[in-house]
Amino acid sequence: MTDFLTRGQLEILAATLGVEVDHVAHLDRLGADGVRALRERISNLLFDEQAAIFARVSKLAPLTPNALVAKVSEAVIPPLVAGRAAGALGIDHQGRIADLLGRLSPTYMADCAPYLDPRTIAVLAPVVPGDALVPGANELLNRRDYVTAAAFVEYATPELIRAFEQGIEDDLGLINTAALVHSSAVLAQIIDAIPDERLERILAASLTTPDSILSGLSVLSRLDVEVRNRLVDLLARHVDAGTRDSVLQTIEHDPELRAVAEQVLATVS
Amino acid sequence: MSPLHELLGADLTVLDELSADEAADLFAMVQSARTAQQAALDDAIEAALGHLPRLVRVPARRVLFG
Repeated sequence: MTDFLTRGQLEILAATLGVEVDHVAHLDRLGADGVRALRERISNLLFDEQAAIFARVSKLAPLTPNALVAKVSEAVIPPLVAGRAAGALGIDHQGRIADLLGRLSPTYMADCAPYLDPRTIAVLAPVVPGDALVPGANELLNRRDYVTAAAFVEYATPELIRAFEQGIEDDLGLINTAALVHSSAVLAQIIDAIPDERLERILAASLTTPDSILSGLSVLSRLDVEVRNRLVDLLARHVDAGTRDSVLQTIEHDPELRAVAEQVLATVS
Repeated sequence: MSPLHELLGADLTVLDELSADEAADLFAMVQSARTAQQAALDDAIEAALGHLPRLVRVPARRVLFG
């Protein structure tokens, strides 16, 4: 069975190539790190060979106020192009990002999000205010596009994480997104930035469906012992007879999570 | 060295784990993505220029195409 993170990376690779995930599913044997390395190199190639045209488009900035950019973009620029260009233009015109994002519909932002250059997300994350991104993030979670959401979260600053935590009500969306964050170190930083009260709510929500149980256990399994123990305590408060059975059924299909599931069940008072 | 190695860089060790057929398939997919991206970008620029007010369109075309 393809693991959670590898499946997520295969979805991003397929999106990068513009193909259905079935076309690349056989690469699952490369593992999450291998697929990610492949995807990063392909993604860099696609972006770098358009750098010259993006640089020329960037020079249009003085001629085009944000209201015009937003109107024309939503009218005629397909998300593939807008997303690809957005990172390069954003880096050149950082002072305009928040206002421009505020003029775009959350739908269009979410349409474009899968096509952003991950390298530019890393540069722009610290300069984009959280409230400008929350509407687009909510739309991504409404669509259950957790793979794209996780790619953004990967670079989020503690300030952005707190903005997301406060502006996003979808607890299931948050646990499913967290489970797809590639780096365990980043996952730990995200957990660290969220208050325990909200973590408990998110963990309680993770008991809702077989997929979300898998997400919750997967997140717990990747944390350091100390943090994991704290979160196991929070989750165990919400396990009852019904959810206990669901947890047991989940680990039947995914025995790698057995240890953490057993820890949770043993903690239930 | 396969065309995929040449395109993505021979230092990308994960490529060594692909069979010749897999590398050829992936190379074809990357080439299709490049072609589709170029076409989408060209179309989008023309469409965007068409939507700009006339006063902006002329200098914008000059900035983009010289």
